[in-house]
Amino acid sequence: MANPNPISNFELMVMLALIRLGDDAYGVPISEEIEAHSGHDVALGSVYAALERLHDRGMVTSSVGEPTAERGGRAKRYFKVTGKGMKVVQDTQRTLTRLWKGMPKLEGGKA
Amino acid sequence: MTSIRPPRIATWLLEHLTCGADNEAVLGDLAERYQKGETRAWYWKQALIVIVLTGVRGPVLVGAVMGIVTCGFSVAGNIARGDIHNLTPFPNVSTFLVAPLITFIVVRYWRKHGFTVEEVRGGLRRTAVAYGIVFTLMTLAYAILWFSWDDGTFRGLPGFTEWFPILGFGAILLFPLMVLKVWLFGYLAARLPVRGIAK
Repeated sequence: MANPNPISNFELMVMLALIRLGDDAYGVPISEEIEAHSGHDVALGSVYAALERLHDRGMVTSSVGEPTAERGGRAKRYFKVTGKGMKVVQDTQRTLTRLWKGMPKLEGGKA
Repeated sequence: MTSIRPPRIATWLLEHLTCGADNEAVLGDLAERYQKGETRAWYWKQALIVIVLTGVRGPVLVGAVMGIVTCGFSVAGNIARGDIHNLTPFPNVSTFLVAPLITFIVVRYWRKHGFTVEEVRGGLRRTAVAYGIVFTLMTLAYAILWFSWDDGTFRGLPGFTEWFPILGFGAILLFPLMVLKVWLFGYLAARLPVRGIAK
């Protein structure tokens, strides 16, 4: 059966970063987590665009933290995965695991 | 810890060209990473990406909606007057050229970025308010131009179909001005707070 809540590859990365970071998930650590594991630079704007889409679809919630001096007096916005978001991640994991099973070895751009 | 101030112009642009709930958080995140040792070039690049992703999104949506609404009203007005042979929403620009073009751009942008229902609702509400403000200001500006270009004789406010008094400059000037107007609507509309929708 098709997943009723498909998410993009980048949105999945953001969700996984949120789950790994737990209560300390805001823009900077989320982008650093994705950069550390993907090996690519990540634009904060893209992270926030993905978070906004996920928020609109009820997969994450957010809360505003306290302003700090090192951030120029600006507050952090913390994000958390909701129950719905967690279910979508689990469904996606199951789908990907099924797809990977029985895959031939990938070599030099050939399947 | 030594405070290193991020590039001022980029910060100013971020503060004034973007809209959304996450503005403060994004500015704070960029400042935090800049303090950690990122370069000015990195900050500028990130700022431009944020501006494009959040600052352009609202105006494009709202401006496009406004374009369609304007075309619709104008065509409806022409039909109501029985002038079905002159369906022009803007002077010298055919409805049949503008409306499909704007619709095409909206649909493409919509499909690419996946606007939510709330965004569209917010866009429509903001459009209505922005339309009123900008239309009033521009009509007054046109009226002043109209007045000064007619040997000091006040000819009154220009009507809806003749509210652009510098047709002599031709359509080459007209089209960029029309685009500018749509952008102005969109920019203003995206920055207007609408209770329950504004973030």
